[in-house]
Amino acid sequence: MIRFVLKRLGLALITLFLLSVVVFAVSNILPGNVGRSVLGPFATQESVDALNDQLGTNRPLLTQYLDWAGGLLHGDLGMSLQRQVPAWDLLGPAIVRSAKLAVLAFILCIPLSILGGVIAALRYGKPTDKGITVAGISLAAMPDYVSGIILILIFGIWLGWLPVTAQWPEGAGPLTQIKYLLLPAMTLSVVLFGYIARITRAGVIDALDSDYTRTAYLKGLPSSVVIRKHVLRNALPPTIAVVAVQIGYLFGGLVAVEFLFNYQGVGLLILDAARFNDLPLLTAGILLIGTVYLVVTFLADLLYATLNPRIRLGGVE
Amino acid sequence: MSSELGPALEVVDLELAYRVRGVDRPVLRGVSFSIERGRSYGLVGESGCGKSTAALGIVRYLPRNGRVTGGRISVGGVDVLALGGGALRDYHARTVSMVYQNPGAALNPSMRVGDQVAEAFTVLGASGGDAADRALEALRKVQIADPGSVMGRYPHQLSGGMQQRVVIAMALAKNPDLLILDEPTTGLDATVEAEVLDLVAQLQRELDTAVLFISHNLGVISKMCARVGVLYAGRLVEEGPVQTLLQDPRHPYTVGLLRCIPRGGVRKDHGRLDTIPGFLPPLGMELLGCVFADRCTLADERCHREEPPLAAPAAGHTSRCWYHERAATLPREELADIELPAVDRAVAPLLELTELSKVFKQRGHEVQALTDVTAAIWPGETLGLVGESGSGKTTLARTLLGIVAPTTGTVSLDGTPLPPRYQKRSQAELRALQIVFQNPDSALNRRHSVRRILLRSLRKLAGLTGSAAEQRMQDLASRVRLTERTLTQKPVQLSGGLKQRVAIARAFAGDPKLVVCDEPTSALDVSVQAAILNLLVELQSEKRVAYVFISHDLGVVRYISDRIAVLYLGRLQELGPADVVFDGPHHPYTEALLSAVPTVDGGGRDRIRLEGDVPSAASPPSGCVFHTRCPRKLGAICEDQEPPLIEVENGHLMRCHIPIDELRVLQGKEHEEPVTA
Amino acid sequence: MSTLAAPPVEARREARAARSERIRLLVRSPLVVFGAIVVAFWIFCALFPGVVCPYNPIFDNNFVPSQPPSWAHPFGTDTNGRDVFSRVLAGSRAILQISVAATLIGTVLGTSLGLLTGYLRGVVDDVASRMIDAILSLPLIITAIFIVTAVGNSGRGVVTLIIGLIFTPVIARTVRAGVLAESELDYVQAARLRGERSHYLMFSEILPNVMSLVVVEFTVRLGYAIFAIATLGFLGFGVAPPSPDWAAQIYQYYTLIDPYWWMTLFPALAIASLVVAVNLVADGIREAYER
Repeated sequence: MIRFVLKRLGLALITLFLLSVVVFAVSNILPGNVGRSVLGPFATQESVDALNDQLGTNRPLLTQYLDWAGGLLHGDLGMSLQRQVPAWDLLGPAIVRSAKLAVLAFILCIPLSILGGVIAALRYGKPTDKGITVAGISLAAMPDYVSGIILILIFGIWLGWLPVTAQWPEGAGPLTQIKYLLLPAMTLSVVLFGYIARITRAGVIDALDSDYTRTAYLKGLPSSVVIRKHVLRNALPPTIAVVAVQIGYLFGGLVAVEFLFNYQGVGLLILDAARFNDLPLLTAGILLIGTVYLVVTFLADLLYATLNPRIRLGGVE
Repeated sequence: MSSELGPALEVVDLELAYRVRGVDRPVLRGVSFSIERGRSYGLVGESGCGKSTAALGIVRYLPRNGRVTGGRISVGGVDVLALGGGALRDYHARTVSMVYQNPGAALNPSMRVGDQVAEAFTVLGASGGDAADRALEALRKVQIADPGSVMGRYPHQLSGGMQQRVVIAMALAKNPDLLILDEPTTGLDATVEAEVLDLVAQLQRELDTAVLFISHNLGVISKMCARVGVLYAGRLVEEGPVQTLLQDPRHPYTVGLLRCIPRGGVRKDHGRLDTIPGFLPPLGMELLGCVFADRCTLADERCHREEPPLAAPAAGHTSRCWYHERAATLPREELADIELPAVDRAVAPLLELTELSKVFKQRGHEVQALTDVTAAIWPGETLGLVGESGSGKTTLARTLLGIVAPTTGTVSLDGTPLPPRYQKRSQAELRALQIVFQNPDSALNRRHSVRRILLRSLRKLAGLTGSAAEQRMQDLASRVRLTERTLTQKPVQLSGGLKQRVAIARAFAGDPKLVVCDEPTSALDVSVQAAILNLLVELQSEKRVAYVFISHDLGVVRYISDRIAVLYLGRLQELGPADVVFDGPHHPYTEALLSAVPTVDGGGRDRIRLEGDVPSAASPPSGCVFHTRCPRKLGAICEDQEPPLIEVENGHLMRCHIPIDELRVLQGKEHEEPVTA
Repeated sequence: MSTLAAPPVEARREARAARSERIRLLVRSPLVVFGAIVVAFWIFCALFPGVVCPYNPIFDNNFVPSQPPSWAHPFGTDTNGRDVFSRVLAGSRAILQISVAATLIGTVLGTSLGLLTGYLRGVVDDVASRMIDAILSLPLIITAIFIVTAVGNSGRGVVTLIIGLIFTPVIARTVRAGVLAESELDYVQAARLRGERSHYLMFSEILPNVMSLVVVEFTVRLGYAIFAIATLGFLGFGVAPPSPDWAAQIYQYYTLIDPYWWMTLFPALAIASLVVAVNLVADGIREAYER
């Protein structure tokens, strides 16, 4: 198990390193662009050059990369060009906000999705299964803002139960915050349900098909025991691993939803940075999202390893 | 558990079908048999005969689309088909048990072994602690040493043999009326298989359980069962006491089946294996008249028209054939015996293996897959390779072909050392050494037609294109008996036997000098196997090709091999003429191996039990690697010194501290002449 | 023996029968048929907008602006006085063009990359796989936004290319897995043992067996491409007003959702219908190939 953990950790770190390289490379597709894009097309070439000098974008790429990477390791994510504040001051709170939304979305959807997936698998081929599967496909396929718009119309405008934008008044308590976050969270849950329900269903079907389920059934165990101790115990850990990975993805995939509800999360921040050509903020944000994903994936692997005796304990003695 | 007298299992006119695309396809047609309490019954048949389906029907675990369309099944007097809900669960919990192939998959990987076994008791009403105690007892009963520690382990931490013992423990925990075993030892090593079968036999006697044993292996059935039923295309074509059936079979299928199996030391130069013409009918096909008529050389018009009734040539012996009195006279296929010239050992050997060793690195351990293997193969001879898992026979074959490079040692072809890896070998060298794989499904490219496969091989191995290639392909195809139609088909449309023929044709495209046959018939039905073996022998006689023949089926190895090499833990233990190695005197391991394999001829050999499992190749025992399990271990010398491989008789090499003459006495062969030829 | 699968029916059919078997399976599923019909409908609209649209979708027709749905205008009119119904029908063209093009680019490049890394293994594979992992640690939308910004051009062509490039590693990964599995099979070893060269092995032996995987990937990615392009359009990338692009329409009018809900809802439903339909068909194809 230790070996497994170390190996995964090593891989994650390498991937992170490569990500930083890729991000850096992409952001420098058009070197020297920075000065121009900040000052605009009408500024003089001298002022552009001056700014580039000041920002250090004229130096060799390797030096720039090392500088940047070095800064990252010290926690310095660079400076937002547009707002002239350290990137972390903007990204930090934004991540926290996105996290709140993501967590709420998960709390809403996970129990229902897993339950849905399990029921669909148990009723394989029957109308219930078909219904859940179709719902899953459709909901997962729809762009989140489309579901969002429909939900806004139903709950926000026609029924008027929930606020349409996710901007709560200053100093609002947790309950109020949740009320404001409910619509965007529901929007996300709808999409997540699609993925999670289908993956759960596939895992449970595999477990139902297996030889050990047959053994359990033929022992005369009541079906509740068979399902609980034999089927789910083997089907759920891989599902949980996949679900955990979805969390990582969620952080950046929130863009459209945050945009729709005008919620100042990390997705919206990145979008803004993009609009204003604020490359330092943009690259910092992207790297941060990638890191979150890798961390979450690593934790998910860890969780899976703990639940799977084969990995936890090793092989034949 | 049983309250009334009467058979433990009674199957009456069972009809079972699978619903495929809205149509019921019959899988079992009017099958009737019964098993008395405490007796054992074997159900034997090839693929598609429906034997596993029958078992699933009896335990009421048919797949979604399977249903019983007629007949009755009763176990312990209870009508099984009428059970539902709680009664059905009770039936499973108390009355019937099933053990299958692949014990590893049959155990819940996320649950400790002890808990799983205990479940069998809690379902009978035992309390938690009580169930755990009884589980411990159950594990002890299946001869697991140190059951306490095994209880706390997970299935993946146990070896295959141990896993199967655990499954058996669970199955017998409830002291069932009926125990069903469906190919329980397929996939296990021969010596482990023997242990498991012995265990089952012993437990059956102790618990007086009725046993239904399902297998395609007549040898195993003849060892384990008192009565046997032969299934063909869903019909029970013959049934009776095992010995009677084997000695006086009364159905053409049974006769044909027995003729297919290499028996009684028959070898390729003595006679061809008989085959059953035609193909096995696909599962669920509608058949008119006798199910076997299409392939029966005794069949006449009546057989094709009317289903024969059940006839009884003797008490307790039934056959479903119009002409059962004449069954034994089943005409053989007119096959001339093959002229196999003797192997000329005066010429230089074709292939020489010199001190081949291979060490693999696996997670920091060094695994010695092969150690100091030295042997020679002469043109036109067949060298049989025998050994269990970890013996190194696969590694040896791959080293020969250059798929794996040896750590030390060389392989020489016609006196010239070969480059260790095939990528560096010349085209001529490549065409000289070819292979036929075990699994015909993966051996052929699914997207290429047979024609394309053969033409490509001809191009690369024989350097032929155009009309010359076309001509040769036709030759090859007719040689392996492929029809024009088969040439245009893709592998997925062919049966296993046909696919293997294509694979053989492909290997022979370049007129190889040596072909490695890696379990070429293990994945095939018995009746098909015989045809493939015949083909290989024909090709050998015609083209003087040498074979390295790997198989776990000792009967087959004996039939086709001129010499046999016995491997254990990567070391050559014995090498000699086939008859000598088989009849003895031979290495203690060979002795044990031969005694472990159940044959149709049965009897004669006392079982030599080998304790425990094959040691891991990562840490082989010191001295003679076999000493940890050797029943004839001398003493300290076996632990300290590895015996050298020496020629104990003419052409017979052995690696053992015991002199051959002493072995001759010990193994009861003192009246035989030592080999001089 | 699996409890849920039927026993294998003897595989002695002609190749034609095997393929038509799959088609038959697809046709039997009402969901797949439904999906196919919807997709066909939108393709028709994309190809022949002149036939389906009652009014010109692009130029002002001087209708009364911002009118809710009525008999004359089933989807209402937008702030520019254009008939929303016509705009919705015409809007399928842009999204279909981009998504199909992007998916094609991704599939071709991805298959090649997957084939190379899966077959060649070794250092090339290790490095490429790590790079792919790195890229895939970011959500698609974010990556797209990032590249678009770095390149400085958010036009339609650029977006198409970028989505195609982002799909490449995703598809490469799946193809690679398939190639790895195929490479283990004996027929590849047999080919090697007769001296076949790498390129023959890759393209003549392995690729044909991976093609079904590629087809499934294509259809699945297509659904995802539509999703991505719709989202990017909504965020303002890859749109070219006054094109009646659905996502563009939402982008324009979603702030006015109260009270002008029709300008947003109908394009949204159009997106939903296309995306769901494509996914239904893709799922059906995937199941048909998995049998």
